[in-house]
Amino acid sequence: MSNLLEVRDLAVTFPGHRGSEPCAAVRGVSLAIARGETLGLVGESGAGKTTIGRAVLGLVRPSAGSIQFDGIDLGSMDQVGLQRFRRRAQIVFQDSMESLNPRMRIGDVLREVLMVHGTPRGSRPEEVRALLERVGLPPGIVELRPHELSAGQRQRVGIARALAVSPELVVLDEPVSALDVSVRAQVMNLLLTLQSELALTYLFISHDLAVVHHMSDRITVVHEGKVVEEGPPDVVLQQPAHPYTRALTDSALPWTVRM
Amino acid sequence: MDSRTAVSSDRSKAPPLLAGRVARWSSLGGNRMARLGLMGVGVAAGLALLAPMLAPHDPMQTDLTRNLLAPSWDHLLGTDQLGRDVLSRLLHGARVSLGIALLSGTLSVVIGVALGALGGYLGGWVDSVVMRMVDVVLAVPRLVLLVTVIAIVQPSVTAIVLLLAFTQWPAPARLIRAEILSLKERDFVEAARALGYSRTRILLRHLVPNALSPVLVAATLGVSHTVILESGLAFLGLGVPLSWGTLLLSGQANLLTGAWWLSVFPGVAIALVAIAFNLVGDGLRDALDPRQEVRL
Repeated sequence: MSNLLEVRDLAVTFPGHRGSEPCAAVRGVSLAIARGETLGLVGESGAGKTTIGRAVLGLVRPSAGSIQFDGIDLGSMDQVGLQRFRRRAQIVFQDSMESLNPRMRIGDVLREVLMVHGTPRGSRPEEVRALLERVGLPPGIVELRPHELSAGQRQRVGIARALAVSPELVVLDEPVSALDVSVRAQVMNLLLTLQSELALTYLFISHDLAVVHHMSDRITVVHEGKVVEEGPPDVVLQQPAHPYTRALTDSALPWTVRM
Repeated sequence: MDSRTAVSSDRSKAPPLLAGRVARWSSLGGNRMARLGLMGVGVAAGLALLAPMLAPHDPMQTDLTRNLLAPSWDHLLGTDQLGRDVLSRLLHGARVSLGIALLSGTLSVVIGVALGALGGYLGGWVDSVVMRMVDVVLAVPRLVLLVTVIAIVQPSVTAIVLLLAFTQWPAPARLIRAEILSLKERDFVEAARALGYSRTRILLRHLVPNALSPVLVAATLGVSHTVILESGLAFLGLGVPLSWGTLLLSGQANLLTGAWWLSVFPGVAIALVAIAFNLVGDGLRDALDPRQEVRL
């Protein structure tokens, strides 16, 4: 199986504000994700997980290293190439309220994606309906605004928006962390169903070991901007080799890791 | 709280349509003072628009045989030193005073929003240039600039509107810039970037609409300020004919002769309109600001 995404020695440094030191969020991370696979990215807050996710999508400029998507280097893409890449790689955020424009109706959110990416006007309503059905939302929801939905419904809208361009890779940045337990399970199952139906590749970012264990084919543990350990979930989480991973698994409640 | 509702209502039927917007506007209606202000603004605007039909006399028709008449059934608010009907002049004056305030307010919001939004979104040298322009305009004493320039170019509606707008745009510019600086870090803007939306689309569809509320409030409050400022200029002799300030000025000369109606009615009109716009502005602020729960 070929790798859809290959990241080599990625480093991201944010410039310091007014005299403060520049902040090295990611310092030399390499990872690869095979087509159709889910790579879990674990680490505490501030470890650089989110920054890695944004860099992979070209939303944050790397200060060093390379990111290759399907063999094409992200840094070498021109405007047209970048727009084509946008249709192949998408993101779902943690906070569903933050990630939706509070003034836009759900229907407009989805129609806008279709419009920008060239779906003919006539077939847009049909596509919107299909997207909503795919993520388990009723068609009537198009008339509502984000604050009129539940957190679970909003997160489904966020997923539908990402799917609207028919991507191959989806970066899931803590997609279920803000949801409560029963809704979390529903959304996780939805993500798994979508993955098998649409042959999606996931970069699954989370600090929740139980969730990552459930979702991932492989796990990468990052600590202070560096990869400290990687491997199959069972091995990484149950026989951690690195002291940081051990600290991470020890700090989680035992029954949540064993599942 | 949010996640608890999510358990029960996820996948289930959605709440009723339009709840948010209706609630917001009815909260403006629910604020008694704001409703009063809205009524005042509405009445003033209606009187101004219908002035030619409502005015009992020609506001320019002089009749020296009937000058300085006290209020009576024929001249409800009396006549001035040239025998012109004060009520008619006041009604026509509403078009001038309100027109100037609303036009200059709108123009300053358009200029301020455009420059402030561009500065906030693009940052870098664009932002620096915009903010230095703001500094320059704010550094010049407003009244001095207005008095000097109007004295040079001669008072006209165009000149006054342009000058007022030119001295007012920094306020909306700063407000919208601050809003956009915080909005552009939010995830829905990040999502728009990830979806490959153009910068124009992100700015016009996602940032500006979400940043307009405080500008709207400030602009409404600003109108009341402008009504007073324009009247003040007119009172100094730098106004256009029929402006409420001009009426006030002509009344001032006759105040000692006992013709109080020449000063009092334009003065009251200015005050009422200023208060009305202030109340609407306060009401809008309460209605649009979700953090502020307490109502008057």
